[in-house]
Amino acid sequence: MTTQSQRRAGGYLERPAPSGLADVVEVILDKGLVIDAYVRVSLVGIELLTIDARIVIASVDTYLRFAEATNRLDLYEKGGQSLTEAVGDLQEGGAAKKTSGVVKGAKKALTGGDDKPRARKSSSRQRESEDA
Amino acid sequence: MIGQSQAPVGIESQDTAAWIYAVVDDPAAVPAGLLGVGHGPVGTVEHGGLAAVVGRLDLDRPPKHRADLVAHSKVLEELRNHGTVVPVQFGSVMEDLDSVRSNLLEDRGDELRALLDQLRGRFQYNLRARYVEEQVLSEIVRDDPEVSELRRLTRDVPDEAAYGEKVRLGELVNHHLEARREVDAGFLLDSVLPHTVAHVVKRTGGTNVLDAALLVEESRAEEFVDLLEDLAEGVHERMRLQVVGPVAAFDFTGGL
Repeated sequence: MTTQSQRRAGGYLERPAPSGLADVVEVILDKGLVIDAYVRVSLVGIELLTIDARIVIASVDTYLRFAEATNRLDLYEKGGQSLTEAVGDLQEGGAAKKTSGVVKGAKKALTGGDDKPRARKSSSRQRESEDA
Repeated sequence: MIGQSQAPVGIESQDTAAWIYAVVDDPAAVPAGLLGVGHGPVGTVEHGGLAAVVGRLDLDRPPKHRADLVAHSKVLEELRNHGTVVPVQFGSVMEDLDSVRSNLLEDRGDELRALLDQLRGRFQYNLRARYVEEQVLSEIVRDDPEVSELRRLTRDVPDEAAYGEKVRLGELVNHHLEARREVDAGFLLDSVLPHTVAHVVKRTGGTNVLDAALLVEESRAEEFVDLLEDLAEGVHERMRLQVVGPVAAFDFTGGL
């Protein structure tokens, strides 16, 4: 994936160069032609990374995170600013920097670790066999 | 049958096996000197107009590190830059080159040739859209008085207090997000699908609106990216659009 990150002047479309692990995982993990293999190597840690991210969705923790994020909004604070003005401020001031979602957070946490194999969780997507 | 001078040396020895990257139909399109997983040389096994792109794998040291995943990905990217490619699932290993030839290229030759024909001249792009969180949450607070009230009740209390109300608030917000995602993802798909030949939509949640793999005619790729630029500009106050590609057609190896 050697394509350089590119962006049309003034463009809003993000076009990252997918060279980091997280992006590579997005592109290739669990995809591609499945063949009747002699052994199939399992990337234990990396595999869990996607599974864990799916589990996090729709849990109570997610609800609490949304509640917290909602409560962080500065809608009515600081001297009766109108909703429209406040929303406008939010858009102008660094709205993008807080957009990391639950999934992204989970992935970041996991990809930030080392290559040590992690404890396995049962999953239909799990593959065996380093020692086959 | 082993592709010219690029064939991995010693692949038949006892404790090694064949790591498979992909299947192509033009072995000449495999760049010379290409290095893959574990910095090993990448070569080809050919049969019936097909070439499997393979490397030697030391079974004592199976690739399981992130660098291996990245190396595998780089090989696929090189192959994609030089021709049509059917990517094989990461981690697929066959016993030896004979087995690659007979069990893959020969036994599944028809399927592979059909697949290569379908993917020829087409690019995969991965499109993702996510909400600008503050913006969409503000909309939800504005539109639902119950959310607004729960927010008032829970915002200035200690972490452990009003637990039930906080969960209820989050649940409501999640519910609204779900409804909005459906509408917004539908809008985005309606805008892009007329420009694609195939698509796969993946499950998303939270503030992630859409995650889709799109197969696009190479001849229309530029126009397609322009369309995405316009779309991203049109929705930027509420959503951020990100496109990765072109990448090898990892999401379309099951046929179109």
